[in-house]
Amino acid sequence: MASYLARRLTLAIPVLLGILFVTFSLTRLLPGDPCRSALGEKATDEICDAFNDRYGLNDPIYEQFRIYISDVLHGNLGESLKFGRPVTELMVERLPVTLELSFFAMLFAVTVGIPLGVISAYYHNSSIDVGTMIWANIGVSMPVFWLGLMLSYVFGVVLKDTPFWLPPTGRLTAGQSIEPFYVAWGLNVDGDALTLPGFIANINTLNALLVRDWDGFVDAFKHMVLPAIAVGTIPLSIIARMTRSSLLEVLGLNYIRTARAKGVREMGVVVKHGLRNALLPVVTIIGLSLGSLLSGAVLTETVFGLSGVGRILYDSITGRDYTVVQAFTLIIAVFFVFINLIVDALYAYLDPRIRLE
Amino acid sequence: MESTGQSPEVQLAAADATVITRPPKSLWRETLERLLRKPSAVVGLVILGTLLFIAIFAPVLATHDPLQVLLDVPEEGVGKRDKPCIHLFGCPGAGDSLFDATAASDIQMAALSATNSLISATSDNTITIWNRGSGKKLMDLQADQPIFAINWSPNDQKILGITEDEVIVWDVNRRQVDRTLENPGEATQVKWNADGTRFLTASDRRVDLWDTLSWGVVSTIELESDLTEVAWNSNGTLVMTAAGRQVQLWNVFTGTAVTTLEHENPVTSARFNRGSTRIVTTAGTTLHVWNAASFAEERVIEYDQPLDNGAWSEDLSRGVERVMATSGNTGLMWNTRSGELLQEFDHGAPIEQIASSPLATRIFTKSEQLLRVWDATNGEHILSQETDGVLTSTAWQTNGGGILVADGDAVNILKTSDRQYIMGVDGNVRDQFSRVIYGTRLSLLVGLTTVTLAVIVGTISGAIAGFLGGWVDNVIMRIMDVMLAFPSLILAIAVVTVLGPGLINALTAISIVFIPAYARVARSGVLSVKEEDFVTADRALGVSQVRILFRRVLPNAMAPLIVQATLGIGTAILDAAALSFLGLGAQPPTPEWGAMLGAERNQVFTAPHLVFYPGIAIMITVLAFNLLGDGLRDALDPRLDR
Repeated sequence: MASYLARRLTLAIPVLLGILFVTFSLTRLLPGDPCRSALGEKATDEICDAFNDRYGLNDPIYEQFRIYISDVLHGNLGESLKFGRPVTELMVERLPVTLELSFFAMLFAVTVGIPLGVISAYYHNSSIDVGTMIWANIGVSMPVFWLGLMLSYVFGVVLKDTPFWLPPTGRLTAGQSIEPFYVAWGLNVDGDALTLPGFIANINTLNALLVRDWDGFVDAFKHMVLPAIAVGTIPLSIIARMTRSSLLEVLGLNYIRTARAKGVREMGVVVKHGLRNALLPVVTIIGLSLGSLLSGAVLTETVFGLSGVGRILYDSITGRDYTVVQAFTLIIAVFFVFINLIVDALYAYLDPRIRLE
Repeated sequence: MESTGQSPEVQLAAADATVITRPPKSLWRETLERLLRKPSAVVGLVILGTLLFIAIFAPVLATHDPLQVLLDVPEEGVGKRDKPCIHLFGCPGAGDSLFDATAASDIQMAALSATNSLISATSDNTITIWNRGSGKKLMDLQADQPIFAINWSPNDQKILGITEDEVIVWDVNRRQVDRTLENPGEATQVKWNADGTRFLTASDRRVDLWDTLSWGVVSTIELESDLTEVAWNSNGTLVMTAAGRQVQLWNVFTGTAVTTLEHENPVTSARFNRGSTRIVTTAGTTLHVWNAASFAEERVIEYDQPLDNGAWSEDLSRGVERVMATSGNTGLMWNTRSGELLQEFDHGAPIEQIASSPLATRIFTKSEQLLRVWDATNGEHILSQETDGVLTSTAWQTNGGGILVADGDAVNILKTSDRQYIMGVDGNVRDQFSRVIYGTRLSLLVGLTTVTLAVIVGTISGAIAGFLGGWVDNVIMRIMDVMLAFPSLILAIAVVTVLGPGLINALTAISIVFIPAYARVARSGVLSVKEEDFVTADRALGVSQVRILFRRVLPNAMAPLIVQATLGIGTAILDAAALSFLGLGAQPPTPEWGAMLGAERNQVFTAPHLVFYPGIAIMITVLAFNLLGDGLRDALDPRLDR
């Protein structure tokens, strides 16, 4: 297992280098003079020379790449041109929102998608199966941002004044606030030490649980429901389809017949003998869906007024804040690579044959 | 013997085994037949056929030019919209009621507040106020004596009312009387100026100007004959009075006359236009248009009957300049610049009021018992509303979509536009239906071109990698790995950031992002085929590498590529829509579904149909390609067919 992981990790290194190269070229390939696009058209030649010197833009390109890599490895992702703050700081602020959203979206997709897939496979070719698969097909065909807009309209406007109403925008009701857990616990942190606690406290639902603020938890959770459904629908459909086809394959195998012949209860046959063995490809697909989940988050956050990674990416694109685009693209890609690594490791753990290949 | 005549029973062998010589079918035909047996694939094909039909015949199917701003639009698409509704699912049409309320007793006058969010109805001593959006009654305001007139302040915060002895100021937020002032002398009219810093009260021969800091009269205008009209100009610096044969403009600060516009006959009406740059007056059989800055007479229009109720029908941003007046049963409309008579509206009863919607697309004429609405551009009659009682007040909403009507004890808002725009009108006053129709072209084009590009580049690089192997394979596939490390949309965003926003750049970005998927599929296909015997045979015969690759190996590795490409078109359309939604793809006037969604996203709570239809269109298109792709996969690989 360890050697397998080591091999996979080594394979990831060139990919990570490639990602760094892509994000590095992103700003170098931008049309126009970097100095003048940062400082404005009226910057004089002397100012531009100083600027180029300061940011190492006069160095040869491989030297620049080396500096970029060393910067990234030291956690220095540059400074936002628009906010005038280090990108890492922005990340601590924005990443928790996206993580929270992705978590709930994945939770929704898995807890609904797998049972749906199991039911369709079990009642194969019945109307339940056909209906579920039609919905799954529609689900993967929907634009996420549109689903988000329609959900916020239906739950925020049409169902207003009914118990089904859900807040269509924001993270907390205006006026509602949750005490950061490190304040509630009397931890005395500030400065750099605040980074991790600040990051955790920014995950509203987790923070509410930590300080046992149930009202705050319910409020934060309610605000997450619609975005999570919007983002989770595509992965849900993919997971449901994958679970169905994988379980169908497994249910036709001999050991299932044997289990039935032994008199194992139907529930046990499907879940213990069937689903367990059918989950392998589902795990892979869950890992791969994280990519669509992140893209979905980028598109949905702007719709639901959540200030997460997607929102800042959108704002920086429209505001031509390239360092932020670069840094967040890098982080998302690296994150994605590691998720894939984890999925591979999980896969190898679940299916020993893979390790030996 | 019987038996001799009996022919021997010949028992032929039952045809239990028949040899059917099946005509050799081509692979394509067989695949197609298998495809057509899958209901989902057939549905996909039917939808795609329909979409293709729509795309090709878009100019015939579309009711309007998708890029053109509609000039005769009923103003529902402009500014704040009425109650949200999805058009095909039943929106109110012309003549339907948008607001409906009943007061406790007969209404003498009804009014929309300045921002149109509240509605008031005055009956005797009571003012009843409703919320225009929800239709809920908010409050009753009381006075000691019958109220002659009321006026909303420009910010909806206050209401001025006038009774025989008092001028009353109500505070709408606190729902009570703010202050009571003494009626300076039989005044029956009261009007705020445009910014709410001053107001006037007017009786037959006297106009008092008040200040809302001191709440006192700052100047008084005395008139020699009975007042027919009094009005503020739009920045609150001048007051216009019409009395006898004179229309006069007064300086508000000093109370002195700035100018006097003399007429040969008694003035029957005088009205500022919206920007207070002109004044229209009617006197006898003539209509006069005055410049409100130079006080010059710009135009005199003669008619053969006495004229009354001069009014404007202007939208200067579109170059629409029209004046209107009434004469007995007829409403008249002229071009201000040329003086040409444009329309005659035959109302059928003596007209008391003629008014144009704010963007000059609709006109209503009102007599005591009848209200008619006309199309301002072609003079067509749109609807009429008749009552047995008396229509006491009628007024346009500021967004032009409806008319406030008070009839007996009921207050209504009548919708004036019909349903000629199937999917409504977008925020830039363009026909949404035509835009959605034209969007089909673009989306199909986007899907097909991006995938074609990606397939060509991906297949060639993947095939070369697989065919040659070794370091070439390694280099190409590592590059592909790096590209696959990015979530596809994020990479596309990054590429468009470099290339700059635009439809072509978005297409390029999506194609680039899709290359690795096809490269992988092509490579694995080539790898599985290249060791086959027929390839070895070709090698032995000395066929060139290129010919082997393109004539032998690739055609045999094509099936999975076709499936992947069909499924890819759906994803490409989704990604292109997403990029356009973010403002990185197709740029605004282009009727692209994603861009349309992006442009109207903030209107989702007020005009959901503008968001609903483009999204549904995207969904149906992507669904069609997905269904077809799934069907193709099953048809090309029968093992998967379940």
